[in-house]
Amino acid sequence: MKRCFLVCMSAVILLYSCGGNTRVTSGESRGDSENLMKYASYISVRHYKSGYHMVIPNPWSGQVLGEYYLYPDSAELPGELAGKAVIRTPVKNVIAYSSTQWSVFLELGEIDRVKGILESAYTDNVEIKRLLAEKKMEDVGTETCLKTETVISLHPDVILYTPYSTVPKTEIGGLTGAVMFPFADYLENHPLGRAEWLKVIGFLTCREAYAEQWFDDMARRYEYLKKRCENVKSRPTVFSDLPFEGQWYLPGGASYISQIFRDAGADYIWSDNASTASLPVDAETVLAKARNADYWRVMNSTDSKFTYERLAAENELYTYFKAYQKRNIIVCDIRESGYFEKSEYEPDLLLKDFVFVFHPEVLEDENYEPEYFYKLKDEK
Amino acid sequence: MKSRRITIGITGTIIFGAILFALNLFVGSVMVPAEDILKVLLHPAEDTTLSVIIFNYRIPQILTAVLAGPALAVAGLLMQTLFRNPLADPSMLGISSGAGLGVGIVILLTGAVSDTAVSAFGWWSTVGVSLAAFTGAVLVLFVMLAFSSRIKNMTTLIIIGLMIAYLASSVTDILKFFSLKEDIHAFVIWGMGSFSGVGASKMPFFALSVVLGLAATVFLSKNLNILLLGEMYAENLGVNIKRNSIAVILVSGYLTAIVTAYCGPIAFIGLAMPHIARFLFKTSDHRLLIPTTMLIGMDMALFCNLIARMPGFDGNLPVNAITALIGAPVVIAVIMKSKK
Repeated sequence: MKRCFLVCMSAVILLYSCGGNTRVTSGESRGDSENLMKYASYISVRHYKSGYHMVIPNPWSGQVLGEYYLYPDSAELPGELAGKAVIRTPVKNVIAYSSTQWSVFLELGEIDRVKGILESAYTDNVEIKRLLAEKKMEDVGTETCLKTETVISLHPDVILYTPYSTVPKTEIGGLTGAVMFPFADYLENHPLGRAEWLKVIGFLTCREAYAEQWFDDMARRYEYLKKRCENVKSRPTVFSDLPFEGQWYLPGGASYISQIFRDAGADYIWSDNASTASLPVDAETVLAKARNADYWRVMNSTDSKFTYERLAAENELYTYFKAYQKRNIIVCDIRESGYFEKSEYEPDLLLKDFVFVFHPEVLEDENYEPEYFYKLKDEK
Repeated sequence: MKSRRITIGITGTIIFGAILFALNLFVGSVMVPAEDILKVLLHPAEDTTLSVIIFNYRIPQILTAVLAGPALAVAGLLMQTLFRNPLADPSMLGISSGAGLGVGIVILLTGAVSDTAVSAFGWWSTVGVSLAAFTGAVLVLFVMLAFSSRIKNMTTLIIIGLMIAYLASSVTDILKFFSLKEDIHAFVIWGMGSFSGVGASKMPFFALSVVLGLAATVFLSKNLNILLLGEMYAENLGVNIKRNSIAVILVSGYLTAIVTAYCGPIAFIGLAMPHIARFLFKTSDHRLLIPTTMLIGMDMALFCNLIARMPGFDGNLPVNAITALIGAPVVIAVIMKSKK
């Protein structure tokens, strides 16, 4: 799926480039204190002379997880940055741990900078498959089992990794001399905060103008739709996910998906909960609290389509939920829709999918085709 | 004196079991006044959320514990007697790992070969997983049978069992490496063990399978007593040791496989419960040990299920964490006692 707004922006993009030589101005004159990230809370980006200064707070300790200076290759590195973690831009050889990282490089037309990705077996992306087949990109294993020698042979200058609460594995950084850059996008709990991380890839590839335009357009569409849902007459109730062996892992009330439900004019049953992580909840508690909820969101991680019959056969408890009985289950076919690769940067479409189910009257576009989530129809 | 001890002991375990049964029924993560639950039990036809919780969630889970506990405990007892080793139990013989490998092959290989996750097969995936566990367990069982017919020394056989367990889990690990992520998640959670997997619709088949296995053990008690006297002695009494051993292995393996297929691997009940029975009833007579081990196994499973569901809290703990918490100290006590 191509986004037409990207095409429209091509003129804007041509006007900008961060070769450095055209944009060398002193830091002071550009209002260095302004954080260029508007929604994201796990990274701040500020102008620093000809480059940028990025700070990634440690979400678990409140300290700093990483502090980086991005500086154009073409400009001379200021003396005071010696010994600091400096990334020369545009980056040349990147290892991307997550599909949410390489998908932005793809969109920016900068994918040739990505030399290695993790867990390539899980992607159905044609372009990535081609690059792998042509050996222009390597599979470098999995997070727990990294192909260290392959990573070293790719001479990365930056490794974008996914930080977890455990101590990050930085040995690979030492072995390769690459800057280990924690890509904390998944920690963001606002859909636009998560999407805004695309700007980080923009800074790394000197395509910040394009990335910013991309993000601003999306944010505007999201906010517009959200505003239209603020005054809906009734707010349906919704709950989420499927149990395994009696345990339901529900999104916390402060989570990403909970925010989307709220913005789409629905009330998430666990919205009172303050957690951002998923909550392990006993099936009987879910039954007691969510049995009469209007809607039920489920993720289909398999390649075959969900049906109401299949759900009932999996667990007869499902049939007691009102959302099941009223045929109000909302499904996302993860693989088919490319949910994990693309949805992070299309929060406006995610929101629209839910609005289309909860409040179709709000959408002027009557013939809207859902992108990720759709109401599961009864096959009978 | 002894018969009095037995009567008190059996009555005690039954009463304790009944109390645990009631507690499992009346307390859970959803706190409901007891009279409301009684009302639901007396008027089961009403379609209320509470009646769904009681009849479709709590009761199937309790029945699963009531059946799985005795099955695992008695399977452990059979193994301990057969190998005359207080630390023998089905997991020691690699049977649980065999079941795990069976499940691993079906879940993980289906994804790798056909590029379709087994979870996509809906109801069939449940049947497939159960069948795979059973096949894996029985296959390991036959391997162990082949070894047991050649190896007289029971300790050697236990070591072989442990090695087979290692082999099975290493093959499972290799399969995991090549599998689709979503299936690994399913497999990892299955590996945690739970009494909630059976559900009301599969209950009749599960119950029948377990009861058949438990009934078979009753016929084994006399032969097990003879086995305790030693192989030479038993042979002198005209008991066919090999056939006897095969029967014991088959029955205990079958019970383990059934429970593992439906609940995942549940540790320590098989290992620890026979020791508690021996300690409480001061006997090695299997005519008494078999039923009492079953009762204690049932009590323990109900107790662990109650604790794991953490009454008053939203989530539940993996049942294996609780069985290990209670079982591991028992095993340490047994080892310390045998060292004295």
